[in-house]
Amino acid sequence: MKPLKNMTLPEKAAFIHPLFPDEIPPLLEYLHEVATSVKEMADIIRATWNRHDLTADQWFSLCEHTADTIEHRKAELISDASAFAFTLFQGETAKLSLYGIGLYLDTRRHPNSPFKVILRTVLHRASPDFQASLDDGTQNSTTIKPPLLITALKRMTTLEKAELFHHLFPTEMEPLVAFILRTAEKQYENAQKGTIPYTRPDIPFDQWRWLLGRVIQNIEQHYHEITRDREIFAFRLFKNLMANVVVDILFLYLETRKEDTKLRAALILFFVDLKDHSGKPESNSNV
Amino acid sequence: MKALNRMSISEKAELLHQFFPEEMHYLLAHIQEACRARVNAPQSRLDNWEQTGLKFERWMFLNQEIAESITANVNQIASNKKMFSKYLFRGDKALVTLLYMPIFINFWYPPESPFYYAYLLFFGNSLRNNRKAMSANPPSPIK
Repeated sequence: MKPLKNMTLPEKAAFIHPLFPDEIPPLLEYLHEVATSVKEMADIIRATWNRHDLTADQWFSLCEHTADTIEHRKAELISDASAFAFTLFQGETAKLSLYGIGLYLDTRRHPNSPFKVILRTVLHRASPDFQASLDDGTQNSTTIKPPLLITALKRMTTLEKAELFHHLFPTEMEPLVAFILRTAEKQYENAQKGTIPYTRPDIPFDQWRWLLGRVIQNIEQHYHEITRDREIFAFRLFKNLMANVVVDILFLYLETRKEDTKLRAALILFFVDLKDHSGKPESNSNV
Repeated sequence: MKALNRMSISEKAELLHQFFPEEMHYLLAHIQEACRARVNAPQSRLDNWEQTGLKFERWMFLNQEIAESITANVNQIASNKKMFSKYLFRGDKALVTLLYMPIFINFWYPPESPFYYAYLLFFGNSLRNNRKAMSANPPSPIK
């Protein structure tokens, strides 16, 4: 086998493929999602296009071709390292594949998994093509949000579920975030006065009060970003134990939207595990 | 991916498949069984198929087609979200599948299970609404 630095890009891809057979199907799904998302955001991409080696139309055609290839030859690309390598990592197609892998590496799911480390090392750092694709402004010129990484619900993290929730209900975000702020402020005020019956057994009272303060601060400082950007929504409101505080408030919000079965279903589906089951939400509904 | 209120039935079906990949074989077995039962004894159990708005012949044809598709492609459908939406949710087939899904959920899952809430989230509207959504955005024929 050649040393890594002497390998061509398809050879590197063919080298990685058999090492991680279980990781290839989700990677292909992700690349397919990237190719489709780019197509969906054609107008924005066209308006901001600044690459010199490709026109925006060539980029869209590349996306269409790659999406089509993955859709129709998925089984072959999963089972055959050579087909995977020479179909997706040769010629112009490689530009989109490397771009998609760059986005994939940015997703928060298992950031230090061996597969991601290898991808980063072998393709990202070692590949001049990949570096070039970053340097020449591909990432900027095709400014799109990395597609959501959807997996089986039970394997999704709270942050990923929060992102998905934001994505599914974009028009709900302004009233919802405003409600979180109002309720958190009221709860914080009552907590300071000691007039709130606190029953949540999994978070000490002082920590809960501190978390409320963080939620208030985050919303006050980043209201617009939180309502508009799914990643910021997740990061600012659902990181670690803040999620528990926010989820309790979300279920209070639901009491104001009883007729909305979809919102209720989504909240229960994504966040019911974080909800306080000790009865506090009801007592808080009076705050 | 689109916001929920802009998704087609097929796109919602794909998301359901992604959420519960391990449940798909059970769901397919149930749908297949239900379709076969209707085909084999059309008069014995008429259910509430009239609410789909389909003619009886069309209803029976779709039942047969879904059952046959599952028999021929069960593993691909269970493992591939596109195949899942194509064979079970494209066009009028969605009316058949969505009629049988609540029975499956009620029978196999405890009350208020995640699968139940996912069904509510994606297909909570009445069948009439689902049908309206499909006629507003007619699916392309199966290749």
